[in-house]
Amino acid sequence: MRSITTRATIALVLGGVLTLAAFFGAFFWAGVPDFGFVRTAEQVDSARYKGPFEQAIDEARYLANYAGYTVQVEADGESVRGELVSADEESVEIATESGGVTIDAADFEAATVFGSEYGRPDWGQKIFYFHVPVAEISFVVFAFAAFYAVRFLMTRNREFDTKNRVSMEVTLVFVGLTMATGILWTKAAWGVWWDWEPRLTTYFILTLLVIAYFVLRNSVEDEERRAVYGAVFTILAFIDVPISFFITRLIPSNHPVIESGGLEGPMLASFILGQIGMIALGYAIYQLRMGEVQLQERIEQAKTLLER
Amino acid sequence: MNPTLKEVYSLVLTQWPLVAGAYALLWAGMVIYVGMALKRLGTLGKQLEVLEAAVARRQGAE
Repeated sequence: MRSITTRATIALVLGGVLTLAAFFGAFFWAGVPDFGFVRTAEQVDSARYKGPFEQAIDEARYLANYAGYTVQVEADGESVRGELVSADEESVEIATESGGVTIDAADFEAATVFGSEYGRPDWGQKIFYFHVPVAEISFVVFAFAAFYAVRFLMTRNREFDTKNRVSMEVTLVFVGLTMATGILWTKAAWGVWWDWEPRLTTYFILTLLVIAYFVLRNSVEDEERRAVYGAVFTILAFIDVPISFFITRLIPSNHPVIESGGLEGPMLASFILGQIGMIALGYAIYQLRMGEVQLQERIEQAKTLLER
Repeated sequence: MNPTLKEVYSLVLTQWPLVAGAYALLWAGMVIYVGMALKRLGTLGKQLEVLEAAVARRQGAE
């Protein structure tokens, strides 16, 4: 028992230190990648400046979004260049060096908008440093649960049933954290709280399966049958883990995939620290729960002795 | 701040509450779960001490 608590404490401290290091690394060391772009009429000093842009426009009304930009409008066989004042379905108003010019929309032929383009900082990517490790640990602990389920069915040793149940509890914790951080990332990156795309759908099914495991266990009173049903269900539910993991690589999916060489320097270091830290925390939680179960068993034994 | 830069930042800073929320949920979830597990461990440890002392007393008396 003492060795379990010691192992859990060491893992907790290690996990805490590493995840804190990953947190500071992610926010104060790793840069912010660009995701898309932002366009402005004038050029400003910014590390994210990419260069000038030219946008061709084929209808007068589409110019409405570019008030204040420099435009060159071709209309009625002539070319007019200046700052766009306004544009709608009726007319286009441009301020040129020689004064204001109003062009009738019926005469409009084409236009080019000139401005500056900047990388759009993807702050939402910061969620990735912990969302991915938490999701990975949920898969790994589920694999351990399936392993203990197989061991239980082979040996009928109750110790493996206990390890299977505790592993599933830890899986539930990490699945919950993955869903919570994932939903917030989805809102930050895609602008919606949820999308029924392959990864999210298969992971949602995984969440339901983990919850169903505990519903199943609580609905069976006989201990032997409960252990067998739990083990068989774990093995069947585990089939969804490789499906959820590989689905983004097999069929078209909006969910990002980390590719080899995709992360470098401080980003990679922070990510790895977060992964090792989360492994340590997952192990610590497992050991804490195992310690708790063992204490409960010893309490039951002591009670039995006293009742004799 | 330069109005154009202000415009650039206003477009991207909308993500910050979501990032902060994700980290708050993650840390709060982890700390609360570990804290509750440690508290339960402490309570069970005390219960076991009392029970084992009672068992030892009974075995001594016998």
